[in-house]
Amino acid sequence: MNTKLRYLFVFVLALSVAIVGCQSTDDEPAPAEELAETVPAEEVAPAEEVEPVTLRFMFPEGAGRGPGFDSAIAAYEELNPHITIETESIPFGEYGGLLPVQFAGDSPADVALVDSSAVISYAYNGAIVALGDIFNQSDVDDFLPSLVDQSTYEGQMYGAPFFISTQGVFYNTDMFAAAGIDPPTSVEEAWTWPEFVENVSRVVESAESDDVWGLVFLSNPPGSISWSLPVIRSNGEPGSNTFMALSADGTEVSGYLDTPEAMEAYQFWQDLYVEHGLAPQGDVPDAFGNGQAATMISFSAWGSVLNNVFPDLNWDIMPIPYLETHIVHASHFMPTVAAKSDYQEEAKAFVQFLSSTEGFMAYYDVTSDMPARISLLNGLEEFQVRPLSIFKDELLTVAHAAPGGPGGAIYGDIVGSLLVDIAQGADIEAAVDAAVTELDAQLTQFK
Amino acid sequence: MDIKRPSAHAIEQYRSALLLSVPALVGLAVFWYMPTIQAVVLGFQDYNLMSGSQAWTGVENFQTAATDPLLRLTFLNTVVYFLMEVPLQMALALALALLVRRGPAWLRTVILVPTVTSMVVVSVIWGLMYHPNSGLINSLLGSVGVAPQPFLTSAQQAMPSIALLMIWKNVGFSMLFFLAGLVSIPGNYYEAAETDGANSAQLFRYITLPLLRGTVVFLLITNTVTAFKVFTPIFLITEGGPINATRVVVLYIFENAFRFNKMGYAAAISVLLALFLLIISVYSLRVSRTK
Repeated sequence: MNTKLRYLFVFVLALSVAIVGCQSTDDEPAPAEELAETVPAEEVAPAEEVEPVTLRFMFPEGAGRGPGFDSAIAAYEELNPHITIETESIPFGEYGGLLPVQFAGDSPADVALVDSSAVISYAYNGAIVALGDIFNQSDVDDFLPSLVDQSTYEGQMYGAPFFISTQGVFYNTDMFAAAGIDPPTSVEEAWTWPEFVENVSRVVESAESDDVWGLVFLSNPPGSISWSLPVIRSNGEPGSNTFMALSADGTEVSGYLDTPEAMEAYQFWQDLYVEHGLAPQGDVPDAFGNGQAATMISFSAWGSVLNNVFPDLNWDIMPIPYLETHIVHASHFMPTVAAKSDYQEEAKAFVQFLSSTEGFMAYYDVTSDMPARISLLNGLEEFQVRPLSIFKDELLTVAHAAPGGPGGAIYGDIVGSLLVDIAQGADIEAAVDAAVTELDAQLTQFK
Repeated sequence: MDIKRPSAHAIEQYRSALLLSVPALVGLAVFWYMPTIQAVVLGFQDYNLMSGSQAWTGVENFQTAATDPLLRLTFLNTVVYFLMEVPLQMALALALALLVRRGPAWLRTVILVPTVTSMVVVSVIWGLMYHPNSGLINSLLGSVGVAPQPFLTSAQQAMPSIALLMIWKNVGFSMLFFLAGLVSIPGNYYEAAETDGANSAQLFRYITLPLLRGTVVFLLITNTVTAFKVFTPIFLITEGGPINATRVVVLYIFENAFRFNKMGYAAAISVLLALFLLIISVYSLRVSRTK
C-alpha cells in the first residue's frame, strides 16, 4: 500500500468514527423533562401520530410471572399501539445482586420490579423517580396501607402497589394423611414452630421414601429475609425490639437483632437444619412438586405452578407457624421507574396501567398472585375460600412489613446472608456479632 | 560532530509503524489508561453511582481504608487464599510439566481443559459437587464411610475448598509455561552432568531449577496478581460466607461499589490494591535479577 493510500485509509477511519459518534448523539431521545416542557401532557398527539417508543421492563422470574406480565403487556400494547415493551426476566436468585448494578449503569431498564423493602433505599439513592402524580386519592385509599407505607419516601410514592404476598405452608396431603396428622385450617389454629417440627418429623418418619425433607423454601436455605426473618421476629412480643428487628429510624440493629429472644430464635432456626435435619442446606430443585418434601413455604401464586407442573400432586395450605407472636411478612415486588430512563412519562403510564384493576386482572387471568388493591382482594372469589383464603386472612390479621427504610437493601442483604450462614451451621454468636457490627457501621450513613 | 541522519525510507517506516499502532494505542487509552485514571480520581470523591452525584472528599476514603476492620479482614483472607493456592499450584504445575514432558499429547490436553473452561461454568459445577446434602464429593466420601463434609458451609473448610477449585482450574496454565521453560534448557547440560555422575535429584536441583528461575518469577508474579484479584468463584459459590470466611478484597470492592453504594471508597480500595500488587511485582523482579 503506498503512503497516500495509507493516510487516506487512516483519515477515512477517523472520519467514520467521528460521524458515528455525532450521529449517535443526535439520535439520542430528548430527556423526558425537555419533552415535558415542549409538549404539554394534554396536547399529546393521537396514538397513530406519536413516535414509537420501546420500554424495557425487568423482573425476577417467579411462579407464572413471565406469562402473567406477557398478558398484561399485550393488553397495554393494544391500548397504546405506539408502545412496545420488551421484558427482561432474570433468575430469581440473581435479581437482588443484579438490580443495583443495573441502576448504577447508564441504561437501566425503564421499569423494574423492586422488592418493597428496598424501594425507599433506591429512592434515597436517586435510582428511581417519584410516581405520586400518577395515582389519585381513591387509588391510594384502595391500595393496602402496608404497601403504600413501604413505597413512600418524603411524602412521595416511588413504587406502584401491584401485587402482595404473604407466606403460607403448602403441604402434601397424602403424606400428612398417611401419618394421620391434621394440619390447622385457619390462621387462629396456626401451629407454633415446635408443634410444626414435631408433626412434620412424624410425617417424614412415616413417608414411604427415606429421601424426604420436612420443609423446603423456594431457595434453600432462603436468602431473602421475606422468608426467614419472620421466624426470628416471631420470638418477640409485638412492638418489642426483637419483633421490630431494626430501629424505628432504620439506622441501628444493635439491641434489635441480638436480643436474648432473637438469639434463642436463631438457635431454633439452626436446629431446623442441623439438629432436626428437617430442611436441606443446599438447593433441591422441585423437591415439593416431586414428592421429596412434606411441606414448602411459598406464596399464593405457587398454587397455580403446582397445578400446572405437578397436576398429580395433592396439596393444601396451612398458615405459617410462629414462636411467640404470629407474624408473616407482607411484601412483594413493586414496579418502579428508573431515574435514568429516557422515557419516564411513558414508563410511568405503563406502571399506572399495571397498578390499575384492568392491568392487574390481565395478569391475574394467568397467575393467581394476590392483588395490592383491597377492592380486588375482597372481590376475587378465589381468595374468599380455602386454600387461598389462608393468605388473605394472614394478610388482614398477622401481616407486617419487612424492616426497610433508606438502608433496606443493605439490611436485607446482610441479614439474609446471616440467616443462610446460621442455617448452614455457623457459630451463632460470631455470625450475629459480625452482622450486627457491619450493619450498624453501614447504616450510619443514613443518620 | 557528524550525526548520521536517518534515511527517508527509515523515517517512512517509523511513520507507518506509528500510524498502524494508532488503533491499538487508542484501545489502550480508552479501555485501560482512562479507567485507571478515573478510578484514582474517584478515590478522592464521594460518588453515588445511582444518582450520579459527586463530591470531593480529599483523602477521606483512604483514611477510612486505613482504619476499616473489614478491609483488614478481607485483606487477610486474600493473603490466606494466596498462600493456599499459589505455592501448591506452582509446585503441582512443575511436577505435571516434568511428568507430561515426554508423555502423550492427550495428557497435556486433559490437564489444560480446566484452564480453557469458563470460570462461571467451573464455579457452578464445583458448587454442585460441594453440595452439602447431595454433592458428588460427599456421595463419594459416603461410599467409603466418611461423614458428609460441610465444604462450603464451614468457616474452616470454605477457603481451602475454593483454593482447591482454583488450583484445579489454574494448574494447566502454569504447567504450560513450565513446559516451555523445560524445552528451552539445552540437553547437553544434562548429558554433561550425567557424565560427571549426577543423579536425577541433582540434575533437578542444580540444572532444572536454576534455569527455570525466569519462568518461576514470571509465574509467581502473574499468579500472585491473579490470586489477589480472585472474585468469580467466591461471588458465585459462597458470596464471602460463611461468616466472612471467604470475603476477599475484590468482593469487598464490589460490595462497596454496588451494594453499599460507596463507589468512591471502592475506587480508593482498588487503588490501594493496585499499588500493593505493583510493589510486590517490582520487588519480585528486583530480587530475581540480583540473584
